[in-house]
Amino acid sequence: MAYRIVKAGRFRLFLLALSLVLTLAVLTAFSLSVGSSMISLPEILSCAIVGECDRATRLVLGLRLTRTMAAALTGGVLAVAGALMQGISRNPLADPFILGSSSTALAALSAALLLDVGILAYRQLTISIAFAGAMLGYLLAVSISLLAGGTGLSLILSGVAVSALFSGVSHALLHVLQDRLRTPYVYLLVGSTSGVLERDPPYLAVLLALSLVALLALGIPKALNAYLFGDSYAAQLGYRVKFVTMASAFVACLLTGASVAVVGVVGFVGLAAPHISRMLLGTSDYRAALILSMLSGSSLTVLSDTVARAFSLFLARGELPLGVVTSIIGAPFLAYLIVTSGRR
Amino acid sequence: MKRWGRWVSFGCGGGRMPAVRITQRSSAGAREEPPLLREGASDPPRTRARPVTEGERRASVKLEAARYSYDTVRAVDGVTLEIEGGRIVCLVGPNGSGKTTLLKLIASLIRPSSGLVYIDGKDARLYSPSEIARTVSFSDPHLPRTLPMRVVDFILTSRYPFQRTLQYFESEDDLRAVDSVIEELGIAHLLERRLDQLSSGELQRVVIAAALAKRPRVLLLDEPSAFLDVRSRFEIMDVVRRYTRERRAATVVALHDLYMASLYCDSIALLSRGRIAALGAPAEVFSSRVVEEVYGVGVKTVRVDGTSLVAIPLPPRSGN
Repeated sequence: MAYRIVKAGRFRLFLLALSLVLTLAVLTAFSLSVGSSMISLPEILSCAIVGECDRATRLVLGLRLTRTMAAALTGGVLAVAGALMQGISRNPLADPFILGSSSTALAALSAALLLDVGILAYRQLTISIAFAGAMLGYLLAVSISLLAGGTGLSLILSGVAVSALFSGVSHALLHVLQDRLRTPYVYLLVGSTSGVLERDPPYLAVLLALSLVALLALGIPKALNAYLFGDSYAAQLGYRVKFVTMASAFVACLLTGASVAVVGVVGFVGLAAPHISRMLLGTSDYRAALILSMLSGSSLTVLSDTVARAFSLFLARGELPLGVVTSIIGAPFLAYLIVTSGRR
Repeated sequence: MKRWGRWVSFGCGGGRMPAVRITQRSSAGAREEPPLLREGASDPPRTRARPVTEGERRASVKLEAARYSYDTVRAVDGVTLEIEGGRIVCLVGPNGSGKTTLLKLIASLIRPSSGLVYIDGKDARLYSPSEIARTVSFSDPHLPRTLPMRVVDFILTSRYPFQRTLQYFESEDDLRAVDSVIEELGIAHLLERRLDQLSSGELQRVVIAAALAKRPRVLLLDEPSAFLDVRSRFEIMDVVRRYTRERRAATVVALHDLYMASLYCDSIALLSRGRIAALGAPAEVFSSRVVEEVYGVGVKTVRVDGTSLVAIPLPPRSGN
């Protein structure tokens, strides 16, 4: 009965979380070893644990660690944002990329860069601008969808419209700006970890930690569980529906903005990760889904980043951006979701 | 919070509770509550008043000239109604007569545009949302089911009002309360299914289980017997009646099925265009002409087994 199922569920959550953490650890180690100079796993371990390795290896590892951390955190951040957006829209296809928040965040950032490229030196500022853009984009998509009747389909369609418009706008703005940027401007459009600096991952880590603490302190996971069964069901359990949705949207957009400001627009992770967690769990219980989404999102991006780097070894044409790989993995997954949800 | 605490101490055995209990959450006392499942689960539907549990205070709900309008439509138009604990009041009436709106008013999901709602003698506006959430259950089978959730997850949400904000998982008491309801409604086999994989009859049982898992003092059910087969209708209404009697809950049920209404309701409020057209025992209401006028069909009353009077609507005569 419920007692047994719940107890078994908690144990299962523990096991799943543990195995995802291990997966992430293995992928991270793997990701550190792959690159233009291959470093063997024993070397990495001796460097990390004992601290015995030569200067060059240490330097390369340091650089790669920054990238891998950025990739892992981007994945985690986007996965949490995606899970929140799917919850508040009660829509299995929602995510920061599809609803257009990523694109509007980048458009806001590019517009600000057009005024002054110097702001790139201030991470807090760029994150705030991208956050404002993400929030406006989310509100825009939701408003358009409400005008169109507020159905699940209208939300996705208006998100696609917002997304298309603002990725066009940011593309145009960045095109104008490209001579003044240090990295190829395409990297911001599709998301790449190659331009990430050592100081960047801590921003993502701190924001992710703060967001999780805030979600927990406000009781958002349980509130979202109740909210999934309708506004009046949540209200009947004593939740303030507007507050729950606004707080979740705020956190989701903050995380989206942070990821866009640091690595650019990485698509589909926010969509795929929550679904992976649902498949593992068999339910959308947000208390478990948020944790598992975060871990699977991180694993997914670290894997994608490694693939991107490994791929560029054979190309000798510079680096394949992270977002390209996540799109190649994510888009078929989206198609699969559309087919399965349409069939039901 | 304190006021709720007082109720709770009543709920878990009245005077025997030390006064310290006042600050405790009600979930703490759930173990001492009388079990929901009692022997004689298969009582015939016509059995009336069961012995009332000692120490359970009678709940009460009162509406005073309550009005509510959606834009220009007056859904509830000056309803005065008193519901005392331990009795089932049924709302019957044609579609759009204001049954669901009335339930929502009592559940404080909407506030009356004029008039008042009292719960346990106190103006409903004076309760905090979480107090209302612990006191009132409103079950509505129309649930969005776009994201996959299991039945057990859904039923467990109804215990959230009894948990602290920072409490991440259910307490043992929450699980016990849920388990007793699950056993009573016979839905143990559905727990691990997803909500979107249930038939409408199964969903109906699950929704009622969630409503009862709160152990509410005020139980509001919207069409609990819809989508159910004949046997399940009796079973569900038996559960509702047993709960109402044992916990002295104030139960309001919106029903379309006049037959079920005449069997299970202690009194009937016949609604017509947001007003109460008739109020009284089923036998009185169904034998009056008003019910025929409101529905526009004939209603025949039949005595079954010499005791209970059941209402049977007749097909309207065409061309007349």
